[in-house]
Amino acid sequence: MKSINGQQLKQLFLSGANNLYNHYPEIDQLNVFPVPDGDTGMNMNLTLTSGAKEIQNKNDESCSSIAGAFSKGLLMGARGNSGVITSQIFRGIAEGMKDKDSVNARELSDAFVRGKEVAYKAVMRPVEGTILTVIRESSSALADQIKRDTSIEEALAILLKEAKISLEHTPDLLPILKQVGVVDSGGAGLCVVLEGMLKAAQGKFVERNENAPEESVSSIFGNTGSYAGAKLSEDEEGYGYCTQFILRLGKPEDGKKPFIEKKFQNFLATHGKSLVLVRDEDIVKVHVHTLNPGSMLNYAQNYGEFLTITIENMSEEHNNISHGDVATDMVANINRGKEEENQEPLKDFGLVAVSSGAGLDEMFKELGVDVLISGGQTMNPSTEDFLKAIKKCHAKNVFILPNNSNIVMAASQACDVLENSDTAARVIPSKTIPQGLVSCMQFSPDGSSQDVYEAMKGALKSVVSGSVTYAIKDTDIEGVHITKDYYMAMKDDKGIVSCVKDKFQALYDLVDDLVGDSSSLLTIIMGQDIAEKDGEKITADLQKKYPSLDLDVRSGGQPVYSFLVGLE
Amino acid sequence: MVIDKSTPYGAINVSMEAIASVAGEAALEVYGVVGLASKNSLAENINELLKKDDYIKGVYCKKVKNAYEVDVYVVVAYGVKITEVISELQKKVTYVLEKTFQIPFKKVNVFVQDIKEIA
Repeated sequence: MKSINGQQLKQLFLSGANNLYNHYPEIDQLNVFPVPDGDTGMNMNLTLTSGAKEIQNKNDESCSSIAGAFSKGLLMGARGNSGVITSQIFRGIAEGMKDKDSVNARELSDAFVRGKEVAYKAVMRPVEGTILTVIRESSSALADQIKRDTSIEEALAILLKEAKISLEHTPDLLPILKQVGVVDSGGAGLCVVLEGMLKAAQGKFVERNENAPEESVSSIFGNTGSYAGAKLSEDEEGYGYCTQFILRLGKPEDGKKPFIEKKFQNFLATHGKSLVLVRDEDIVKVHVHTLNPGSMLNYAQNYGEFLTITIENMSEEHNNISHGDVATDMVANINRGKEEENQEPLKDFGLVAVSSGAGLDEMFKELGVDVLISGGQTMNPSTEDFLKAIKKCHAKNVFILPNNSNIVMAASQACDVLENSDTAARVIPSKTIPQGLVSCMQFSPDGSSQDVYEAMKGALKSVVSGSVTYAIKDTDIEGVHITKDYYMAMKDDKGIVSCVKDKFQALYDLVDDLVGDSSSLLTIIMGQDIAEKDGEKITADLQKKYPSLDLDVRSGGQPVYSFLVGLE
Repeated sequence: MVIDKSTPYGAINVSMEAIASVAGEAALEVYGVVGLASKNSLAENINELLKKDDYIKGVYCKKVKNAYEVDVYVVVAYGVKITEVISELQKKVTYVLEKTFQIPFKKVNVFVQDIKEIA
């Protein structure tokens, strides 16, 4: 192609936006700058999608009006830093195409240069090593290389190539990228868009792949820890209705109740999973998976009126066959619940603990834990899981051991929900498995609820704990160099002790660091990757080194962590 | 003296100017922010961007019930989505301040004093 008209340009833009949509979860993974909240890909995707919507049904033949509309859509839908920058780049491109019905390669190149200029204008102190660098270097390289007979495809190919080279260099310009070992996320997003445009120019229009990002959606929400409540996890019970709505809060004059975010959130969290609630002044946006969308909508309507509602049946989507099973499962659950309730009077005390791995489950059971919830670093149980477990305990006072700092929040929320019910639930804020185990040992069902709580909580302080796990990428943290697949020894409260190739060496380093004058009992829990006979070797080695310590080496069968270490 | 902290080794005091200059630097790196403006720019009709020494006129820090709040007065570029620029500014300033001073900042209030088109 020597030149393109408005409709062809529209195809380029749409293909770029689609390509970004198909890849945005990968871009989220890169996000560390300026604030590591893991939403760059999502933000850029929303921005581009808004632009794509604007031109979707436009049939103008002139580039000027298509580029103008696209730029307007981007501006209106801009989200996040990189979204705003992208909107400025395309605003410049639109300026460059002003009054042109069709553009050739030279004009396209000029438009990109204009895009760069406009993008740079809006910031007083540009940070290099970001999307700005990528557009600057690629557009000026294109301007240098372009010749009279360059085609549109060739121009875009040059642009993409140069953008990728520039992207590769972003870690050299921005130290934080280098430290974490990634390239700039915004720049990567721009490359993906350019790639989509190039493909369209080559006649390989990129379609929106509806399934791809859906799978990774958990990682997006999982990273943004500020959404309290249930996090999206590998949801086994992925049935029900994916319910999304936007609510405009009403005033008391309209007969609406005053909106209390926490209360609202608790209600939704107990009636559904995967809750995401975002509030902006008088607008509340909710995404939740529930078996009963109707009651949720009725409840929400007490506080305001809906702007939009979307409800999708996920059981249909996921698994047509299991539809019948879902209903029977639910009935079975309800019945089971009723039976349990009727059987016997409430016990005085119940214990709920979060653990992972068969051996650990066994240990907690031995120590008198009534109900175990499977979970840990990579899979956080939801508030609802806790509620179920607390009910199952069938006790007046229930203590919860989250055994992970990420889970304390969900557990506390479950306790808040249960306020004013028959069961008083309290969280013992244990942050590690060894803490949880020691705390359990202090549990004795004599005395008042307050006494038991104090005793168990007090035990937490008597343990120092640590763990050994493998590194997933090369990086530097707190001055320790981390190499991929090496084993890291971590103190649970004070960061990384060492990173070495051998997991046993990592364990010894860790123990060395943890042992103090007052230490007496060392507990080591071996993960699923450690064989039984290695345990004997460890016992022998450590006993020789620390003759005064009592050793307890057991197999816990937990994933991810090769060793969990507790020292009392 | 805005931040007072005591440690086993002694007291730490961080001045308002220090916080203002950190917050000001952080704000200026945010995309879409053209510069800091004086809090009184509207009243005094001074229509200019602050220089580095004067950041204190455009950034105010106060303590409200054990939590810190910062007010930032800025000038934003014409033609950007201002809500997004501001929310990025709040995120960035909070992040940088917390990283630098190790104390939680509860609020970053942003005041857009002017919008400028730069040719």
